[in-house]
Amino acid sequence: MRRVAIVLLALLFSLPFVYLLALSLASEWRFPLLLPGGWTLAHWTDLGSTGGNWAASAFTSLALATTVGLMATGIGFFTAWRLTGHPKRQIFLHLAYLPYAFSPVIYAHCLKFFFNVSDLSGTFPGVLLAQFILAYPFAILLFFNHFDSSLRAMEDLTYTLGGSARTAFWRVLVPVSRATLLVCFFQTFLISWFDYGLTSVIGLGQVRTLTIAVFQYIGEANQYVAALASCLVCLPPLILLWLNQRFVFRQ
Amino acid sequence: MSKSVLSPTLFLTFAVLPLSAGLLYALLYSLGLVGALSQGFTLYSWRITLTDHTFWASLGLSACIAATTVVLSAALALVLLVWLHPQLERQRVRFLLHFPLAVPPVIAAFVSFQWLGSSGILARLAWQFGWIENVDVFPTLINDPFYLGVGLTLTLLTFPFLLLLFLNHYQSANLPQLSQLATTLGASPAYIRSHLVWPVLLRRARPALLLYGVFLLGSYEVPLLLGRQSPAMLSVFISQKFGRFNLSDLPIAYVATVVYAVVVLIVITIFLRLHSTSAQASPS
Repeated sequence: MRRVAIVLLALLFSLPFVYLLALSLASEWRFPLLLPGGWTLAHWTDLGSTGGNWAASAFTSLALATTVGLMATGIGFFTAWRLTGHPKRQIFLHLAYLPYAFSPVIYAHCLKFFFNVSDLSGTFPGVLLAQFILAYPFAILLFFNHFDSSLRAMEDLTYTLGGSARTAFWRVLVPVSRATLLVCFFQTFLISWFDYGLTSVIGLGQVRTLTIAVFQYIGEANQYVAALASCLVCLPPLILLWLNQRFVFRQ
Repeated sequence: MSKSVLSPTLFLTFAVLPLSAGLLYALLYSLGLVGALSQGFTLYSWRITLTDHTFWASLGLSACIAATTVVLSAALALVLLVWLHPQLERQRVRFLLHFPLAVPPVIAAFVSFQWLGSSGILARLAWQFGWIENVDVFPTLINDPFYLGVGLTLTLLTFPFLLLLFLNHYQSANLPQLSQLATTLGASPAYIRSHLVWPVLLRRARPALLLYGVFLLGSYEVPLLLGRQSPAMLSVFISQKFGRFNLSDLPIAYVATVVYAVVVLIVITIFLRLHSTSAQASPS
């Protein structure tokens, strides 16, 4: 019975991916067919040139998510390093929770006026800045937990041995924190990669990421290309999961 | 700029200032002090919004869906954890449990849209088995008045995360060993479940459950695609008000934003208290 339950869970959890892949490869799949009426690679091979232009959306999403991930991880690590030693560290920690818990789309509406007056709405740098503002508090929260007493002791030892703050940062803290930096990059990459609400409000539909494209395809009743774009949205987290399984779970 | 000032400045600029400035602007706009319609201080928009039943319906609906989703997901996760525990610890199964985390709300909404719709996969299955004669007979699960599609999708997104969370707490709280000890002392499996495992897990996961409730309160993509236009969940309601061409809706949108911010602030304050209590209770 338990084995059956596990198999059912496995089916439930894998079904969305199988379904989306099948739909993206279907030439026709209408009611009442339970399986596609025909198969085609056309949606994938034309790279969206016959409508949809999903390849450009994938590139925009990739550029945004990579930049946001790198910026949030780098600046978040540096900021958290200093803030965890600050006398008011607890206040900073509490303040970081607020933007993290706020609904991105409502947050975007709050910010929209400032992006409009600075001519950043509807531009790539504007969406980049908005997504960074969303991902940065998350990076701070993650690194606040990372800078614990043992890491502080290592840093203090560096100073005792005559090292400067720069040496402690680059030669001790960064190498020791490689795994956490990588986790933070992946997480902030995914915050940007998955975002829809903030990008739709600040990007005004002109910065067309994959998630924006999925909603547009659904609106156009273009379910096959919507499924293709959905597969692309799920691809990076699945790769990260596989890497995690291969290199972390087995240890 | 000295190094000791640089970090707090960066933090305040990118983490605190945007939200504070945005909320201050929303408050001033709602009071008629800034914006295109500004005519000086007035509480008119607040009176209109706070007496508008659609606003309260949206807030109530969001709170209700968030609470129901958290309760259902937590219950499902707890039952599955106790029932399937040894198997859930297996490497392959644990890997599998992470799969739903790779599905963002936008995609979950799309899949539900394709499966639960009147000509979706479930309707086709029902037709193939002869349970329905045409699609009109299939029950409405999308844009339905009871938000069944939204609730189901959010629950399916939430419960795998909670299952993983409980699984981690199960190990870190030494519950397998404690359960064994309780069995040795003569406690029945049902007694161990209800008096040891579930209370310990719920107590440890309380802050996370509360935080997840706040996330669900602000859900946007799933209700946007699967929910109704009226009453809409709060994020959708606020977006509708901001997106309309009628400028008189803008102050109402800002009032709703301020009220949402106050709710989030209250819940976060409770979360931080619970979090510090949990940290003191389990320093490991």
